[in-house]
Amino acid sequence: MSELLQLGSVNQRPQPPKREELTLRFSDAAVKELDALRTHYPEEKACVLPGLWIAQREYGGFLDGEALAEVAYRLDRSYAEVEGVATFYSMYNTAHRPGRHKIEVCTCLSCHVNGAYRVWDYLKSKLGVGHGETTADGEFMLEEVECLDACDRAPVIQVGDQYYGPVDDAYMDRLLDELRASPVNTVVQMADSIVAVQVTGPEREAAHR
Amino acid sequence: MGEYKLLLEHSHDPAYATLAGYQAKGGYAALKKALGMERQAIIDEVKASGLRGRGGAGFPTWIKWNGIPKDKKGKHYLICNADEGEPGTFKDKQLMETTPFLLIEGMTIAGFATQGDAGYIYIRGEFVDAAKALRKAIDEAYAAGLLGKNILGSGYDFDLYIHLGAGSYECGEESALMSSLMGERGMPRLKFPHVPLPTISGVWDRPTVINNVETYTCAPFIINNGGNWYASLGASTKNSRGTKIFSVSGHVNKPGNYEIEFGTSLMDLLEMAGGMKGGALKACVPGGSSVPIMNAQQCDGAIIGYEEMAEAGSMVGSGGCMFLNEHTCIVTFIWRTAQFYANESCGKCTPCREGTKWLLQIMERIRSGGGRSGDIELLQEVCSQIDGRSFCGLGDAAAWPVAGAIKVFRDEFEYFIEHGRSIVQSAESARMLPESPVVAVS
Amino acid sequence: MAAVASETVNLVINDVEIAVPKGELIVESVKRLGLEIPIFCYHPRMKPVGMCRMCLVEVGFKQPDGSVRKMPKPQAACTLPAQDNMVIFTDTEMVHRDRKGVLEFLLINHPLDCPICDRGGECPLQNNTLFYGPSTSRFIEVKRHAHKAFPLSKYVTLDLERCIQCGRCVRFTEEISGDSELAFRFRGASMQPSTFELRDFTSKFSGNVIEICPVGALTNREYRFRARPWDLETKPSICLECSNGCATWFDYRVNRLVRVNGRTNEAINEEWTCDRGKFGHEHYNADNRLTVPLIRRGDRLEECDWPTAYAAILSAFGVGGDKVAMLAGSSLSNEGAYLLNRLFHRKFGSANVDYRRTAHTLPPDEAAGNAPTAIADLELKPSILVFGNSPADDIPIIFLRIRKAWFKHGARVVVAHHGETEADSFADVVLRYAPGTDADLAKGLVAARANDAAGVAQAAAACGVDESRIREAAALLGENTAIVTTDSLLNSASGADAFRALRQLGGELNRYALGANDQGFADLGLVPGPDGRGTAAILAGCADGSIESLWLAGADPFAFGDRATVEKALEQVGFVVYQGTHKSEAMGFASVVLPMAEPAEGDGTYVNAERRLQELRAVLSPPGEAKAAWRIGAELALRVGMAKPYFGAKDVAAEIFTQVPAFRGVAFGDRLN
Repeated sequence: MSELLQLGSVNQRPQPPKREELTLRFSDAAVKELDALRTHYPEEKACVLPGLWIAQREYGGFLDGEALAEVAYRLDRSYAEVEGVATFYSMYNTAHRPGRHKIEVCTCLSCHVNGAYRVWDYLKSKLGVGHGETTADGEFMLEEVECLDACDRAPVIQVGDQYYGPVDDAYMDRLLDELRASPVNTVVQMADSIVAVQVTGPEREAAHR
Repeated sequence: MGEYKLLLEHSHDPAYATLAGYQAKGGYAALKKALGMERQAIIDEVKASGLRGRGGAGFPTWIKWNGIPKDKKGKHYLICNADEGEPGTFKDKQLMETTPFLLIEGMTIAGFATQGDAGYIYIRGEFVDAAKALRKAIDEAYAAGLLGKNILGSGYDFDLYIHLGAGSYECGEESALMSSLMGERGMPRLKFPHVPLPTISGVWDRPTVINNVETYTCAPFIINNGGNWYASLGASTKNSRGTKIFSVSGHVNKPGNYEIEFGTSLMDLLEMAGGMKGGALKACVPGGSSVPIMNAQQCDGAIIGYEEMAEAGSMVGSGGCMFLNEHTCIVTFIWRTAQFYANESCGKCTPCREGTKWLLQIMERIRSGGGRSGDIELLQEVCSQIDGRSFCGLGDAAAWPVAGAIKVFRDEFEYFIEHGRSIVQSAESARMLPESPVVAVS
Repeated sequence: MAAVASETVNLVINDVEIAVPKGELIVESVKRLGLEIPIFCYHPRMKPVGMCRMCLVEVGFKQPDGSVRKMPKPQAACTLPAQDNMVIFTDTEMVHRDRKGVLEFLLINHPLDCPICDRGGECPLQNNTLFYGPSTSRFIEVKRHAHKAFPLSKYVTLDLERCIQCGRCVRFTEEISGDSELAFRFRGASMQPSTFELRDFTSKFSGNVIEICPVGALTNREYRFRARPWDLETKPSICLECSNGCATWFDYRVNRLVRVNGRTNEAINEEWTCDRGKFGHEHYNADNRLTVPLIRRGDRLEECDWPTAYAAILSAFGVGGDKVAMLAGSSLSNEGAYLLNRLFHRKFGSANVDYRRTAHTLPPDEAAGNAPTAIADLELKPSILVFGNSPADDIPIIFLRIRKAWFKHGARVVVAHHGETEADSFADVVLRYAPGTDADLAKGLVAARANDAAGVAQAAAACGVDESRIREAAALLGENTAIVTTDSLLNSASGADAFRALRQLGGELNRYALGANDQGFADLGLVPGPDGRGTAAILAGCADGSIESLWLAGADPFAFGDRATVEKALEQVGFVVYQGTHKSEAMGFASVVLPMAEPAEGDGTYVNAERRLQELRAVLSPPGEAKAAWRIGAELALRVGMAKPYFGAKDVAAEIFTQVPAFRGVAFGDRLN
């Protein structure tokens, strides 16, 4: 049924957030890191991608509307533009809130012919979720991804910073146990690593002092 | 001919990724030498070397460097395309993780030759380890006066930045990479002759050199030993000089990166990688998923060189070489290839956006047993409506594997369509398709 | 526009040789030969992108030996600049195959909506498919599904299944209106244009995306399912919702307005509209239109005939002199205003006529000469100062032109206002002064240009803007600056002072009127002069009884002052003529009601903000007995023996041309003297 019939009066359309209404969550360190990144490029717009990585870290691994709005506000871009950039790239978590760990299984060519789908089907049935879904305990999100370009270790998976491979069912059992036991949120950790490699050593230190 | 470890010579030595270890093995001698040379002389050495772009296009590197305006009227930029995304390719990963200083020194040399003010290494978001290694190395270089202001007292200033992507194969396309670097969606930009070349107006409308990781890492060796020396490698081929790292994977016993001199035979490469695993050789995709697939017969006698591989029916491409054994279902393999391109299509132009998805849907239908007579012709026609009609090379790259596989393995397609199952019973071909994970719409 | 000698290059198009300006896009060059290349994503007023691939042509280059070497791939004509020795083929078998291929790709996911799609009948996708497309479909897979009939705003409906991802709407909000409210999200076959989280599309220019969308993905919500284009008649018209006077197309059916579209007028609106205009004409169809004259008997208004109404009016205004007054509403035509004004001055002997609605006014000698810069010329100004108004609200299409000056020509822009404006997003300097301190800031800018440090410091302290900012802004202004102000500035007590200061800045000082024909009234002299009362004095006079009869000529009295003042005036004054188009609250105070026709229901001429005289020809007939204002004025003039009969608005216009100096010798479409 068309939304026209479902949505009530025209006055109920949600409005774009006003600047004064935004809750800004970037920590001081994040603001400093973004400021350092501004000096790397001749135009501020280039900070959108690194800015989204910072936001993904600051917002617990999920880029919801508020996260996107904050990036837009800080870089003086329109909300729609930042949402457009974030949803283009597969590593920004905009569609689904990830669990504490995002298990990305490569099923592309070399991995494919080396049994990647076996691993994928095993994980799906073990965790009870499908592509883009998170386990009920919030621990693991599962995603099928395209080539991770580490084909000599096929089949390869990525969890946070780390590539693992070649994996098989037993390997996955061990890895999942390790991840469950680890206190780290690897989704947030990966975002942090990615921010850290883009600011220089001295800039990073100054921001986190 | 055969294996020749030029770039990868010290790849297994962890110290080589540190400044001290790198310099201990002769690192930065080339930059010192280059800083004392005339800029044009550096470019002339690269010309003499015959170096061609190692990312996949094989474009003569000296032409790009030489195309940057000599009279400088504003900023010049260099970009390193480290968005290694071509399936089957993992050479840049190893280079960045284990020989980061080769890249840094190479870019600095290129920067000096082209009066570059700053360089950006655009690394795909997944390669966190590679980025970490480069971060450490760049910080060390700055601290030692090898980057930044007045490098080695020469008066040359050069900054080098790291910029991470976020998951998009299209950003490996040079103009889409520029869009992404500038903070936009990774969609490609107009090309010559619609707009000036990137060397005239590239990123932020400034003269820009864009080269692949491997290309830059050749520069120190060319400067140290001279272009002619580099050109002596691969001299048996028509026009392919130097060495090339091939990433060998698939059904081989020792998958990995193998650096070979141009002119080496494809079968020798297979032998270096420990030979076939689990069955006889059936097919090879020698240069990344975008190049036409070869059957065993075509592989036999194929020589690795840009012109030579074309004669053999395929391409050098990125050097991502996948060998497939006799238990591989080609139809299933091509289905997965089609899924890759449909997921990675940026959406800008009609043929790629709609065509890659249509190809995928047809392949899914065939795989699920719903193939109909006329499907092969339909696939071929859809491919011909994409090839050469799209905005950038991704469209061509999506069409070639399908069209190429039909040309070489038509009987497999016919069998699958007629019988509703593969001619080869493998785990992959037998697997039912539960859902199609094309990029999710929220 | 200055003529620039451009280099020409020699092309061959379909074996015909032709010289064209170097760099001209091939898609335009072929038009010189009467050829047309089909397009979707290309739009001549926006940067070409080459996305849809519909315009692919074969391209070759003439070689020194005379042969033609074709490029290996076909090229998009919409992005290809003309070069010497280029050889273009638009009619080959490959080109036909490619067009068919692109259309096939566009149609595989396109829903079979034509029977329920408003675009049907005026749809580029339909047309191109008919000419160039496949006649059947070979697509047997599942089409993609997405939001249909989604209310993106109260004006725009979004249907994402129909979208062909041409990007025109996204590029419009980025390049033309500048709000960037639409962007593509997701990628590949899922790519779709959207507002942020599909929230309200609040752009003040949102209606334009409906017109430039080549399919029915963005449609007019008010027009939805109202008509099929082949049922509609279309006549050219002019929008009178503000003073810009944009050209429009008035679509109607059986004497009823159906919709308004933009019409090309390079001098004013190029081809754009604003939402106030495009969606602001529903009052033509309102239920409360006045259709018969009414006269008050006791405490009720009863229907009467025109002679009765006229007699009552002439009797009540016969006392004349200072005891009568008229307030004119901004969409009266020149003809209506001229005749009514003349009736007041010559028959009633009264100078109490005014149209101005601002809190304060300028003295007559300062009010003249107030729009030196033509709208189209604004685009070429190297610097622009926007002072004391929000142009996207006051003068929307002029706002687009200011933005174009920046976006296309690199103009430097300074915005000085006490509130936020859309122009802030591209201004070089934004000077946010405290409300009421406009004159201080203007004086500060003058001081900065004169290197008067004390003056700048004083201004900064008074208006709350940093000294350095004032200096930064002043440095960008000079003799070639266009200063853009509107009558809004006269709502400030110090507005007149501000104008005086701005005059000292040099450059071209523009004070654009706000109401549709306010500028025409100014040039026709609908102001009181030294002997008469202005708006405020008229309202005061009504309240204290010194004015006995008030004529509201197409005027909403509540727009002329604050509510309390106006209510008191209307209650106290003895006799009120309500000459209007719709029933309203003010009608409750009327003694006589004259039903007036809407502007498009009669011929009329109007003067826009830049003093351009424009002609509007009648599109509809007025309902019931409603009459155009000029006809009311003419009939009254005849009754009092003041004039010969006028048989049409153009007779009145002809008289204006001879009697009013500003209009002498001016042709329609030109600016007044």
